[in-house]
Amino acid sequence: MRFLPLIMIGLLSLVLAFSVLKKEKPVDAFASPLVGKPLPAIVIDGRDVAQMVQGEATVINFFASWCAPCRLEQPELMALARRDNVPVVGIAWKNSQEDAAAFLEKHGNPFRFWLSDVEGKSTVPFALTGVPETLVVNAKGIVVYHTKQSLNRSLVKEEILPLIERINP
Amino acid sequence: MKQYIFVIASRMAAWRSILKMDCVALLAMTMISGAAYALNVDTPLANAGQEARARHLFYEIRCVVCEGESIADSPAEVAQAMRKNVREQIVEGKSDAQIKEFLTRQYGERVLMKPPFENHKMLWLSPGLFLLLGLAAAWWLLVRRKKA
Repeated sequence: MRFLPLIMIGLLSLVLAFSVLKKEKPVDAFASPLVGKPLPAIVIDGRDVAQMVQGEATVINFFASWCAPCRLEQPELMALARRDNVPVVGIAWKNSQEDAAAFLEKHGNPFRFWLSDVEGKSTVPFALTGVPETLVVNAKGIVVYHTKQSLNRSLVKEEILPLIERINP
Repeated sequence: MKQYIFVIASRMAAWRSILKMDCVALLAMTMISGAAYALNVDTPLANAGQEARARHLFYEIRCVVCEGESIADSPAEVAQAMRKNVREQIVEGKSDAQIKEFLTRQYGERVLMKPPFENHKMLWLSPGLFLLLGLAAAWWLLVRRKKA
């Protein structure tokens, strides 16, 4: 049994090799629990979000005046709103009405309407990890898309617009 | 010489004004962060038993934007919103298991500080297995040495 240490090291190496070589999902893979399900029933700012977007495919954007990436994606949201084939709705996350209004006045307001979620009530029901985040909801109120990325031209062109064309021809 | 004295004096004046500005900025930053902290303070539940349950649960739920930190320890906005959600669910009468199940549905298993045993058997059992293996090897070696 003089090979016992060798066997032990071999076993440990096997375990290590298995854990390293095991195929894992990429870290940035994001599967939203919301996709395929109805929009969470939640009242923000005294209004039921699901009811307000019912009957029409809608883009819902979570933003905040204190969030730098939100400023960067604002031109994309403005361009999306100008297309007129889908309404864009905003939810100011952990942001007061005054601050969110000042932000929209400064950077442009792409929203048909927007609500202020000062307390962050939407966080867990919408599986948010911060802002910006964007959802696309179909006319039946089912979430068909959810991204945690800041919107940019290629994301809008390659993912969001084709989806809107499909659900809202 | 006069030139040097002038340069030194002007630099000293510049530094003094920078320091003065820094003090004002530091004071302003302290006041702003104090105000921000005041806005971020959690509102505990009126029922002491429910609040104790919530605080216990906070240590079992991971902050989804922090590395290895529970929502009890994290100052992140998301963690604060999650604490609020946990308190709301407790008030609604949900059990600890139901709350954890809901959070897992929303954020995946990574939201739990302790990964569930049934899905991670190897992770939970491997330290014990290796310890047993080591003890067995040590015992075997001792017996062998005694015999020799």
